[in-house]
Amino acid sequence: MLTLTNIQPRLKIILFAGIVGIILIIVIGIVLASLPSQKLPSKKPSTIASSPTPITNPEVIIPPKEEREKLPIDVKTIRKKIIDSKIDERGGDVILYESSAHRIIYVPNIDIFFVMILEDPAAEIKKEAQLWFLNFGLEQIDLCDLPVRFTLFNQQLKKTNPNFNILPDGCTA
Amino acid sequence: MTLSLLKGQLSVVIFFVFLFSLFTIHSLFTNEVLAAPGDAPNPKPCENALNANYTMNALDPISFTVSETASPGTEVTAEKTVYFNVDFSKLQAVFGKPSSDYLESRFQDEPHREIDILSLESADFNKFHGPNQKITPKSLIDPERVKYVEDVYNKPELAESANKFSDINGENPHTIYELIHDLGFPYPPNPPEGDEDRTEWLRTWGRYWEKIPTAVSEFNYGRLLFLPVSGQSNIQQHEQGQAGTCPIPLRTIYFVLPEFARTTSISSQANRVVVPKAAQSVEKSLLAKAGENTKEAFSKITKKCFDAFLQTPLSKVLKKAVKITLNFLGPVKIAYAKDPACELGVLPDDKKGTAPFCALPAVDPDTNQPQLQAGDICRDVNDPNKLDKNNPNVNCTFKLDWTRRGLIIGQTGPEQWDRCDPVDEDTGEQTCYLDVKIWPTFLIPWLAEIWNNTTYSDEDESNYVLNTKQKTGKPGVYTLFKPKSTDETVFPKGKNLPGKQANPDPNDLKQRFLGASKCNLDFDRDIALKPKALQEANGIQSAECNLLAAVPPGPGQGGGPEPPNVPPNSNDCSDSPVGPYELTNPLGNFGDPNCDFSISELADLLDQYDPANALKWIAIIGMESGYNPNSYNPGSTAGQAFGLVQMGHAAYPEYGLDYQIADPGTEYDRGDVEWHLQVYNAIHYNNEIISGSFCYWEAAIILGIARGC
Repeated sequence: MLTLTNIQPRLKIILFAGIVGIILIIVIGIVLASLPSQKLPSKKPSTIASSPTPITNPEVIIPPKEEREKLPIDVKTIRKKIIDSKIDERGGDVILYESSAHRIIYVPNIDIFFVMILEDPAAEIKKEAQLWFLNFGLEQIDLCDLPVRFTLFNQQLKKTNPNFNILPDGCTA
Repeated sequence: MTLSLLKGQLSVVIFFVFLFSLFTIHSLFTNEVLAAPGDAPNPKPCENALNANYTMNALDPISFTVSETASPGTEVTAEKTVYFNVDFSKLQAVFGKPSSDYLESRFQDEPHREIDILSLESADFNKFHGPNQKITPKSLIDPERVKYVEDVYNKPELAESANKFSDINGENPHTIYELIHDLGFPYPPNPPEGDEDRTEWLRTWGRYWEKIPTAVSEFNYGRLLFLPVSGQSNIQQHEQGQAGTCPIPLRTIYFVLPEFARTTSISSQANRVVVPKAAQSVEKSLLAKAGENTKEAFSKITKKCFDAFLQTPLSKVLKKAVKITLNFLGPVKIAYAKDPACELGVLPDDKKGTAPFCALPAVDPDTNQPQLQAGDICRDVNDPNKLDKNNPNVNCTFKLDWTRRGLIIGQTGPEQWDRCDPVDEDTGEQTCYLDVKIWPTFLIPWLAEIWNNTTYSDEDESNYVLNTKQKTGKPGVYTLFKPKSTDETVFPKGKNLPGKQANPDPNDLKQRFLGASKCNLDFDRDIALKPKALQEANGIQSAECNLLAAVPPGPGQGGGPEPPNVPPNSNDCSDSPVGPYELTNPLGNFGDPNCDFSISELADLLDQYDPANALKWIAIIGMESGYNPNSYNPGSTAGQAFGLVQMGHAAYPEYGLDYQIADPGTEYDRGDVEWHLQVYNAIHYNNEIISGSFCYWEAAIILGIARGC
């Protein structure tokens, strides 16, 4: 026959295990209660056909207007000459050059030159557009801070030019 | 002792311990232990609100047409899903806190409770009491303070029960409970009158008395109903107020409105002091009185339907907090009527007009059932004014399922289709159409009494203020000092001030609503009781009303209303700065149908909507779309991407495109719209849906703009 004395050690173990189990349940409860009750809808980022290396300084891409004050005097002079060569002005944008392959636009309120590439071969057209700027007397490195930025105007061009760099040649991000 | 006996005891012990653990877990999750009167403070902001008299404010209806195609005589069911978004944080603009703060002063705010009155400079001391307390005799203010102490002590669940009040030296802060329970202050307080001995009073309550507010900031419930009407003739009858029955709400949403009771109580006090007795507001404490008979009041409301409640100025404010979307259709745009003289606008000023607010209550207080249903989405809004910090349900999108059964193809008339096409000879089928309108309707308490107390009472306007009596000719506290002859000078752009209308027009009712109350407050404060020289010295140049109902803009969010969409067309915009467009997408020219896009205009718009991030957006847009508002990527990872910022789109079954929007309800994830709206959507998606992280856009990740993705 099993006596109380025999059972007491086993009883202690069972009670101990039971209390530990309950504490665990409570701890799990606390953790669950502290979890956020809802998650926001998420969506994967849109696909960009061109996925170059991440640029660590976004201000290099679209530098603030104040940066233009630091340009050398001669670059500033040529810059003005380029802007004065406008062929049209539409909706505030100054059109400097236009062809079926690319369009060069100066945007006064952010003080930036954009080259929109409209067809392939994008790399050659980019070089052609840079030459247009250089013909005013600028050095290649001046295009970085002028600043000139390149864009591909449709998604098909992005597919065919996955490593297209929006900065002029020779610029570092 | 036998093993079987022991086993039985052991089972009992384990059973009780298990029960205890379940209770502990339940308490952790529900936190519903309410304190009894006289218990220690246990503030439960936004719970156990009061019901009240209601004013009905119907917004523009959600309109759509349903259609079904089948053989004539076939019985079909028409269905439609509609999403309705409410940002409860934006409702704070209509709580009337500026009025109560002005009249009473900021007695509930912490700096006011902690301040050392005796060391205040003259100008600051002048601001310590609001006009209400300055003009009211002590014999009337004292009972209000005694009542405040009783209310707070007897309702430990009140949000302000945990407020600590310092004494007049700014020392020894205690709650009302501590003053009574721990320090032994007499309860209820008994302020001495006349020549009575003040020794005991000055040792106890007297040291704190000037800090005690005169009104409890009790909370009230508001309701949001969705009233559906289908069929052209039914719709017409309801719009003209000729319908014999009222629609049954598709859904009723309860929400909590802080501050109403305080504003009502304080304005009532002021009315009784400032206005001669014969001209005082008709009834006192309407708010509390109505709460005793809520069901009756509510039935009166539903009997009234929404006849004559459309387009009230308050409705315009409420519209700022909501957004309606129809699945598979374009969003319904709300037209914001503007009145520059006394606009109930949302001003970009976070210092004025903001107020505490509550998130959506978890359960319906009548049925105790959860308010959120399958298909609803709520998200949190980080706002310091939120009272129930642990409730994340602030910006909520409610799913409304409209269904109509028993419709017979080919039958038109009452309770059937509005119209049917001729039977198609090839298929033998027929398509029938039914127009539907759903009126989102807010039931807001308090307005009647506050209007009467502060502006004017008019019998002709009884219809607009349910369950209350109106008596023509009784002025409010703010209008008492303003001669009617100054109306055109003070508010030159319209009839903004109290005055009986020969033919009341709902559009002229602005004078009776929140705007009138606030406009007249400004007049009294700045003009009526100040000599001209003092007005000029204070820089008061314009007498026009500036209503201070404000909603703070979100982080990084500039101003600007939601621009309207423009339907796509086939114009390739050959003369525009970036045209001609190659319209290779299925919609045509969706992004620049007016041919007015330019990068300069884009930069200006970004500077307006999101000045802090404007250049980042310029960089992202250049990389995402090359500044092409008609950019279209049929092979995005999520499906198809549209527009400048390459975002989602509505469903276009005719082109085989499914609904692809990551935030149904708010629907900011839409690029298949006009470019101004593309920009607006992108900024709001970034700020409101993904907390300003920019993680939606791969360009932002590549450019190093996105954070914490």
